[in-house]
Amino acid sequence: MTKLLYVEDNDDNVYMLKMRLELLERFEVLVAPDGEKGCAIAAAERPDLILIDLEMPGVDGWEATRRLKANPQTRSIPVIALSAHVLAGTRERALAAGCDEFDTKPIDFDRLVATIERLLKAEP
Amino acid sequence: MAKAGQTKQTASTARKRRKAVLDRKKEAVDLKKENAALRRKLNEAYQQQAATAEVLKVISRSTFDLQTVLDTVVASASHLCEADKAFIYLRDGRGLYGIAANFGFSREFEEYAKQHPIAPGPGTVTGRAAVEGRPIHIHDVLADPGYTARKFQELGGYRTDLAVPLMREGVPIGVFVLTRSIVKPFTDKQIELVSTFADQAVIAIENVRLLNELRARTDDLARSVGELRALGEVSQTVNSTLDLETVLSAIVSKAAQLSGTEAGTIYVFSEASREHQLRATYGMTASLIDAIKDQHAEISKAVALAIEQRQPMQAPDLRTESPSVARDIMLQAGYLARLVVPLLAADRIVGALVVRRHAPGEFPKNTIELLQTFAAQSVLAIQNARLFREIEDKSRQLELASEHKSQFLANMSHELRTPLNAIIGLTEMMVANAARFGTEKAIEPLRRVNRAGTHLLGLINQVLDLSKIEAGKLELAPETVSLAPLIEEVAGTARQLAEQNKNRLTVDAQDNLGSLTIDPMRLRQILLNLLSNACKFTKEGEVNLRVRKVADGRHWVEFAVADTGIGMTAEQQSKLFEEFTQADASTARRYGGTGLGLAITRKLARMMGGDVTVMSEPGKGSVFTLRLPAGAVAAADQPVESASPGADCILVIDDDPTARELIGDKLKAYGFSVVTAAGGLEGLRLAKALRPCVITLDVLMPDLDGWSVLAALRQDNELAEIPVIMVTIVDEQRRAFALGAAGYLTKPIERERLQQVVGRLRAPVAPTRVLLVEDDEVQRESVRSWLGDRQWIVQEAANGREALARLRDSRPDIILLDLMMPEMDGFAVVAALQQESRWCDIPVVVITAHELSEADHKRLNSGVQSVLVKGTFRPAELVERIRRLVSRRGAGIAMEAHS
Repeated sequence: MTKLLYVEDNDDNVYMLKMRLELLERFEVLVAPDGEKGCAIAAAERPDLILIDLEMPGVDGWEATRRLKANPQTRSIPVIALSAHVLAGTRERALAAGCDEFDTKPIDFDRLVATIERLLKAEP
Repeated sequence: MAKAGQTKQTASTARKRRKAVLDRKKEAVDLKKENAALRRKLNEAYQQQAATAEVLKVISRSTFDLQTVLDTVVASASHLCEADKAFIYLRDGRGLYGIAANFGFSREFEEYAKQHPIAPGPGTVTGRAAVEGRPIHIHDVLADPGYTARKFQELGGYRTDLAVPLMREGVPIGVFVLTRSIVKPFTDKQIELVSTFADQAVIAIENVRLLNELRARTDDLARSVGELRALGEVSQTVNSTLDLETVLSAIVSKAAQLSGTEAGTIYVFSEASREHQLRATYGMTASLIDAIKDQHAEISKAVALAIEQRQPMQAPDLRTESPSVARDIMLQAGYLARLVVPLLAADRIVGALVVRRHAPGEFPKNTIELLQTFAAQSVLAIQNARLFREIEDKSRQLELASEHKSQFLANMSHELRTPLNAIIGLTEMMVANAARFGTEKAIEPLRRVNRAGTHLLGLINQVLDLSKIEAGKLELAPETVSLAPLIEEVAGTARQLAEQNKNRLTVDAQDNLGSLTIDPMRLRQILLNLLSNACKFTKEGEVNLRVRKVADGRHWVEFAVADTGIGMTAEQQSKLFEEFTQADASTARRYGGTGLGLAITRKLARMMGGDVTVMSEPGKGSVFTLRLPAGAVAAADQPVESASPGADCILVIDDDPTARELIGDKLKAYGFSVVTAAGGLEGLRLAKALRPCVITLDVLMPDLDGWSVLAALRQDNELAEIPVIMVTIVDEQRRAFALGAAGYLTKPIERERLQQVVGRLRAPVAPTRVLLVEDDEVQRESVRSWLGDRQWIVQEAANGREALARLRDSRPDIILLDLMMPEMDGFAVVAALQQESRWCDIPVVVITAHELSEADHKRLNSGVQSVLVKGTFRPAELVERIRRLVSRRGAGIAMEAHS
């Protein structure tokens, strides 16, 4: 079972995506409501991949990603940024902040799963 | 006896002898007298001549100095005519006679005469001569009962009086008077002599008058020229810069220099502080400026007075003005005279122009008038600057508002997307995993929720697109893409849409479409929008996508999407491209859609330099046609219409493709190369990249209006010098010039007016020499007429041999060559050109009746730069092609010279 961490403040989105991923019966989805807790759980649980919302109160996705990539314990975990912002440049900024992939909300579920599988395969 | 007779005889003889001696003596005396008289006469004549000669000499020598002439005349005449005293009276503007030259009269007399000018009339000899216009001779003034000028007589002490009028064209301009202090009338001869002198005096006076007039006119002219030049310089400054300080400084310095004053200031009334502020000075030291700045209230008083009176107010001598600190500062600085000219616009107070002079005295009328002209220029400059500031402020506010709108929409989009993520995701999940959730019976409602959510998402995306386009934030990312695979991919996606309504999708793409430099994502978006519309409004019919290259003076790639669907009425078509509009309200209910797709499609197409048009008939279907400029269709035999920057390039900025084409074609016909931009932002980008010689600029454009573009151009140092011609349907000429436009056109554009405006802005170029080789007289005639209204020298040859003969005479800049000709054909001409080193670099355009075969191309052996097939090109195209070839060669030569 692959362990995923989903960092997201919107409860409906957490409910939806966690359930859809777990319905596939090959993912276990851990959840954190903000960047601060996300980083703590990532360090403690060492998930195989992190899905992170960029806009969150407190420590947002940008900052959390920078912390995850700065911490030797979590540095190697692939991060997929999810954002409802579609402005030009958001993707580039997310990748620059250290994210391995970027996808827009509302999510295209099949495409997201394909991206997750691809990043997991690339892992050494 | 004999002795007595002898004596008698002797006495008689002696008597006789004595008589003879006496006679001889008498004769001698007579002779002597005669001689003396003769000598006297001779002497007189000599003296007269000498005197006349002297007077003439004086007149000719001292043309500029009337006094010397008159003094010489009175002195010489008195002397010759044995008069004691003499004077000349001249008529003044009031018709009175005042003393102008005096010989022999006392100072006292002269003073009295000066204070008592003589009126024409019988009381004086002068008055009588003036009235009668002939010499008046009074033998004894005391014996003349009509003579009333007793005081003159007492002071002058004269008795005999002679007055000769100075006549010019039958009118007396003065009187020449000679007097004797004893009663001794003048002889006729003397009177005659005085008349001669009077004539000389008239000539001298006349000379001086003419000379003074000439001088005055020359001075006037010189002053006018000076003023005009200064005004020209000021106008130029007013027009060339919107920097108010620069303009006002130019005005105040010219105003002071031309009015002969040493210092000047311009005050501008500030609406905000309700006071006049010092904005420009000339000739004043920094300490003086500081000093008067502190005395604001008092300076304002003088300025306010002139403004209140609405006319120039002068203080000829500040020393006589009531004392004040400001006055004392000026006096201390040495300025005695001051002139204040108010700056007044029709409806508001603008300020005042003040000049100051060291020398006291009234300011001449023409100086005041001149300064009023400068004041008018200042008013214009100040108003322009104000107008410009207002516009700048407004556009800044608009920019800010648009910024806020974009930010709001971006945030809104984010907030809407987050819940939509859950809605779409969860409904999808429940449809896909119905058995697990027990939602089998709710599949249809779930699908509907999902579809509604997806629709809402589409709507949000389109609103965002539209707002980005409007804010000028949507950036195209052009890249060179191969057209065939892109069309294949779009068709693949559209095929699924077509199947939903059981439509058949066919694609009909021309071979060798090549590649296109375009934003591929946006091209896909446009094509999918058109195709999905066609599929949506067609049931069990056919949807066809046809792609081909077309040329109508420019090269285009045309994508036509035709369907056999419900079609539209003309009225429905007219609103089709407006935002949130569908053919009608019921359409939305039956077919769905946001009503934004076509609005976005057209805007995107226009941003790409193209357009989308529609043709439709109700019940028969619609054809939507997308045209994009094939600016980079790479094909060797079709040189692209990309203009080289520089001397002949005009940038046409207009959102309306018809207008672009119209203006572009006309300009091309005049030999310009034309680059077009479909919007303000693209226009600015191209202006920076190409540095065109002239820009034509539409005012009403959706992304960035013409006024903002103009302002942006003027603020960019590199682009500020490019002349801009405003083109608009709204008549706002004043505003155009105020903002620095070089010309102005209103739509619809008249051919002559356009040529006039552009021609004026363009530096003259040397005429292009064209050698036209063509055996058909009619064909020659039409080519000649195409090149008629430009700077062309067209030489003609009816066959190849004639062409070579012409070439030996003079070398043309370009050769237009027919191929099929008698005697020596075009192929032979090309071969001959290639062999001759002085001719081989002349560009050749072949104008042929038929398409060239592969073999023909081989024969021409790359000795030809361009091939045009008769009847398939337009005059403007030929002109453009010639222009490009000639300029390219010119550039090549210039580069060689540098290396």
